[in-house]
Amino acid sequence: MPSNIIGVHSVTIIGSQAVLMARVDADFGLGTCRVRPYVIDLDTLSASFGSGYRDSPFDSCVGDGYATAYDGAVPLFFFAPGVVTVESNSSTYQRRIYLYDPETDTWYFGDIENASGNRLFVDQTCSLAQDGSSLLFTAFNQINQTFGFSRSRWILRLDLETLTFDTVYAEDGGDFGCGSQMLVEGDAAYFLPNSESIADPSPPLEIDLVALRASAPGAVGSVTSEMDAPIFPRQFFGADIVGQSIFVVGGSDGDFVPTDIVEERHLQ
Amino acid sequence: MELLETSLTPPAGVDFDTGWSFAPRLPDALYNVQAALPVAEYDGELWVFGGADEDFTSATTSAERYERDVYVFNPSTES
Repeated sequence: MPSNIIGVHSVTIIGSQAVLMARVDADFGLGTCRVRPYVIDLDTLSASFGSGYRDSPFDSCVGDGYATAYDGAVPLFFFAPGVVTVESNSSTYQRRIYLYDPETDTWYFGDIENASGNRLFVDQTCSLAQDGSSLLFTAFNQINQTFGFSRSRWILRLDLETLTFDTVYAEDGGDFGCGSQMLVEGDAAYFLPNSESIADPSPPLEIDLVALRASAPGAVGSVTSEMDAPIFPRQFFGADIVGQSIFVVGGSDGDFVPTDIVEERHLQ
Repeated sequence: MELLETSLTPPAGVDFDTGWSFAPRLPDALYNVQAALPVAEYDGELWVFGGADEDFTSATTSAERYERDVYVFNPSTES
């Protein structure tokens, strides 16, 4: 990959292509950076940049909360900061869904809201996975911890047909941390928070997708339970499922030393 | 990305490595990874797509930046 890619926020495999949302350094001048799609053919390793989204918040380096998933109709889902608000010394961002079609190099976006018509304002959205026409994603408000405020973390469900969201899981305190991973396999979703907040680490969570799919919007019952797996001992990792195992890759530990590839336990 | 203040000292009696099996380390080129490592399964292999450089804002030449290589890990042939 080119050295002006200074970070890769997410990757989605579409056929034999990997579509990366890459943070690109300041070949655009003024020390700013942008997020642009970078498409790699996995068979030939040939690659090219797609277009950046014009007039978007991606023109800044407010670079968290990007995640992607794949859907046959609309290839990529891409959360990003929208309108920025500042409240009590902490910044929260209105979340939109951004869609990128690598076939046509075209961007779309839409606003999302809950059943009450409230837009989603959170500090970070750091992991996302698709289950049919729903997206499961995590959100948390982290900046408050800097100022001693209480923190909250959520798992949310977004209906892609209506662009409405509801809450699947909510917990006061702590955060999930960027680098957390949401994985969907069959009738279960596995969420691996990173260990960013060691003093209040989150255990891996499992979501019963059968129960969740049967839940009406806004009426989600208890579908989340703790996984029988240890807290992952690193920060900023990636993960995916190969066969019956979850493989966790990365990330930095306390000294930001070289990373490990770690194999997790078998799925049930 | 704004980083959080963290304490990486586990609580007494807690070993975060317990319960995990570890495979070979990634190459040193991924040193200083400070963002999520994008990982995706493709054809039974794990593909790892580079990382992020924590010091990119102070880098003035391309030589100071890190390469963003693509790594492939095959769990069926490597241990």
